[in-house]
Amino acid sequence: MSPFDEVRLLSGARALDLESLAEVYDRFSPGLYKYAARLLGDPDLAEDCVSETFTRLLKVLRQGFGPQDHLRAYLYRTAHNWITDRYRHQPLPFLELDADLHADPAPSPESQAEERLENLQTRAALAALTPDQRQVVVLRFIEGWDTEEVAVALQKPTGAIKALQHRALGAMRRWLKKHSLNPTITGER
Amino acid sequence: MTPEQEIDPIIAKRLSSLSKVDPRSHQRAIRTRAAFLTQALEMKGKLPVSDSPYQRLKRRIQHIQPLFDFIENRRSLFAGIASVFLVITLVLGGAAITYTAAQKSFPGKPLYAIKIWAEGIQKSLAVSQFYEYELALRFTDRRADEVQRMVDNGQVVDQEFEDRYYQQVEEVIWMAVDQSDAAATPALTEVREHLEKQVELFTRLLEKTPGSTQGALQRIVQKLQERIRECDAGIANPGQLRERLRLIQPQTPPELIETLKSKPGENGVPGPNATATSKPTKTPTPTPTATDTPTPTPTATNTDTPTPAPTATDTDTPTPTPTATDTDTPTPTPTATDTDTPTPTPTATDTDTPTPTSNATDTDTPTPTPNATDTDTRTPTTTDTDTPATTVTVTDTPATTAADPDTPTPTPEPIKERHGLQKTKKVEDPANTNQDPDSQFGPTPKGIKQKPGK
Repeated sequence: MSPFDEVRLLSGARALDLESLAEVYDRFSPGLYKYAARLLGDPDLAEDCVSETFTRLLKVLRQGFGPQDHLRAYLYRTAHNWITDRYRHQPLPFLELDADLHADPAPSPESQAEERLENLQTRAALAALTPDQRQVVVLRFIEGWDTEEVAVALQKPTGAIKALQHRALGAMRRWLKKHSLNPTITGER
Repeated sequence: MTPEQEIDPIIAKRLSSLSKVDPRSHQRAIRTRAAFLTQALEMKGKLPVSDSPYQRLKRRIQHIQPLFDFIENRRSLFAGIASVFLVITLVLGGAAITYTAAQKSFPGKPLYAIKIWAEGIQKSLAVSQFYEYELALRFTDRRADEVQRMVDNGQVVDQEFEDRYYQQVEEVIWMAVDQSDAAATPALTEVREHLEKQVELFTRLLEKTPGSTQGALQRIVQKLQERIRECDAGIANPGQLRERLRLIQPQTPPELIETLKSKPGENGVPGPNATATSKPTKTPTPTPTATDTPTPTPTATNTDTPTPAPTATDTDTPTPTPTATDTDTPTPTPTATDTDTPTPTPTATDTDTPTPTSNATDTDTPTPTPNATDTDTRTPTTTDTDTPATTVTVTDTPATTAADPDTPTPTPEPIKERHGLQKTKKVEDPANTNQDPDSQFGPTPKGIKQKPGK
């Protein structure tokens, strides 16, 4: 989205113009949903996150505040704060890797169960990070943002984002080495 | 460097596995979108008429910005105006602060004089007699508070303060009674209540005061109790109290007497005090000279008519009143008495009988009528002889000398109806007009001013 389009959208949204708001929603809600679903692993929670994110946007626009630019970064930051609050109040259940963990009754149960198990482990590893580290990792390596965009979303300098990224990857590696049964994770690179 | 190059491939693989998200429920997405737009629509309907507070503030600042620009362009002009306002504010504010601070002062404090001065100003500015009475009553309460503060601070109540206090109490009683009977009764009742409270206060203070202050407090309590009894009498019979107060000489402090002595009369009216002190030294002689005049006496004896009798009594009794004291020009006296030949003046009147001067005893002519006129012409001389006696009394009580017994007593009219008082102008007594306005006792109350001496 060009900066011109962003300014036009924001001015319409600030006036609570329905067309502008609908455009904002259509443009950013799919990505936000995926972002929330990856972190939360629950479609319903992800939908709640999207709904709450846009509601908060409406409230600040009505009060005359809200973003002047970088609307996408603002929305992801809002969603991330919501998810962080969610983690605080209702942390993810600790993953028990026991032999009784059954796979879904799908056509290839072993592969699906393994994939599901790995996803659970990865989310648990992300949950173990600090909020800023988690957001950097998700935006940088899952959403595919570059460092500058992440810096805008977190409102931090680029150098700080790089430092956060370095510490986050180390922490994830240590966590996975400690909790994973997969011997390929060496943790040393 | 791509993200994949920055990260461990295993972790990258794990993270990429998270990127696979189950497709979003279309119906759920539509419902969420509809809810969002409905919410936006509701918010738009509830949008306030004006903008947000921040935007309103911003707009107001923009509106008044030209004013700031205008002031900026005319900085020197506004600086002058601002300076004038600043000075006025400082002066008025300083005066107000001083006045306010003075209200909490008490005797011995530097601002107490300002407090008393301000009270005098307040009374003089009272729009009606009723407000003046109310102020006077409030000021007596203030004096009582001041006594309490003085006692609390271990300060001795001095005589000057006591005198002022008594004077104000008497003043307020006079103002209460100096109206119609119907209005005087509730006013006196109110005064009595205030005085009772003050007595209660002082009685309480007596218990905790040292011996040095107890004497003054006891005196004050005693005086106030006398005034309370006076109020009781006034409540029972206002008219009687009114008459009595008119006759009673107000207690004048000795300092006031000194002040009155030192200040000569104004407005051409000779100060009675000044003449009183100078008279005895100047004219000690008139008495013998008057008695030496043989002329009236023989005429009285010779004449069979009873008319000479008054002439004889003139010499003996000093009845002729202090009017003579006022006359600085005792011209009749020397002309009549000093001249052995009283021919110039009497002859003019006696015409037919020039004899009375020297041949008064010899002449058998019973012409008492001219003699009668003679005596009339000489009355000034006889009265002159009495002046020393009058002047002596003047020095003792200046108010008495100041007031002429012959002058009609200024009977104060019913000044005010209670709570509907009428403002009436009272006659100023010359004795009081001579009073120093800067006197620390302040102006003597109007009501009391009018009271003649005995």
